[in-house]
Amino acid sequence: MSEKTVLIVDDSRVSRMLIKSVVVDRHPDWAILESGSGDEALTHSDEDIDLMIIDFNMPGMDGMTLAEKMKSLYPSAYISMLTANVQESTQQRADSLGIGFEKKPITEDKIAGIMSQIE
Amino acid sequence: MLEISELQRDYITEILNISMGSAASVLSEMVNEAVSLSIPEIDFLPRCDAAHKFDQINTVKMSGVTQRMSGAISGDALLIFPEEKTLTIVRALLGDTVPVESLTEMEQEAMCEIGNIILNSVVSSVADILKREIVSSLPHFIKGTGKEVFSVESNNHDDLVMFLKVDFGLESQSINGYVTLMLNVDSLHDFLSQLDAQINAI
Repeated sequence: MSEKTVLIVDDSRVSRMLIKSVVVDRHPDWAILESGSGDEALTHSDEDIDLMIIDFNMPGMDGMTLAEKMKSLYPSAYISMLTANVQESTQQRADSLGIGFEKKPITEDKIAGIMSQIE
Repeated sequence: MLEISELQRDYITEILNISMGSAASVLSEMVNEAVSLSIPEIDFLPRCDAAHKFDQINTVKMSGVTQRMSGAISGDALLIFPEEKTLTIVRALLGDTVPVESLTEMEQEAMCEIGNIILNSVVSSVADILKREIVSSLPHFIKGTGKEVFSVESNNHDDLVMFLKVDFGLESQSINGYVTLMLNVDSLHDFLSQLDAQINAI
């Protein structure tokens, strides 16, 4: 099993901690990048990233705009929204962008499900 | 003075963000259009200070819904909007099925229904985090200035108010809504201890 790199983008530090703990638990060898905003996430765009877990509702750039940018920068990476914005319209936008969509609250099963896309 | 750590604030914001997201989803189905939500802004204030602050930032009268909480935490949950916006909300909810002249008489009932959904979503999220039960009373419609609204349902002016401001946006208009949880000091300390235990377990 090869080492992967995961980018976690969420303005909540606790949420990043929760996601990170599941990733580390399952794959201690995977590299984890964290960002508290969309703009900060884009500063990682020179790195190899295999998986992105992105919150929607963040100050500044929203997660969907970030996902759109990342999708063109990393066409082969798996991107999933992980969001409290659970409206049908948000899910439809994620579907049309060709990215995953998972509803908060964060659970181990949900993160494991997202991770399984690249395992 | 109550001290809230950065992580506690972060966690509370996230809990309320999730609960408001869930409430907005239901609201979106009810009004049949997308509902945008701002990032929640949270403040902790004594009840009387909250009423004063509220009147400073809102010169208009407010209306909304209150529900009494008991069980794992004791206090009041309030959903408040500028009074001038309530008919807009009611119109969005009921669409064109109700004639304009009947909107006012439907106002209380419609607001109670919206309040019931949003406040129950918030209270349920808090209960889920605490892993304990919180019982909510039936919703009551309220109107008035901040001072009047915040003294509703309780004479305990030492209560602390967890003051959450969220901007709701419908496609056509933006509406500033406020959700507040007024907790007695013991409940708030209990709540924060539970949060600490969970943060430490990560």
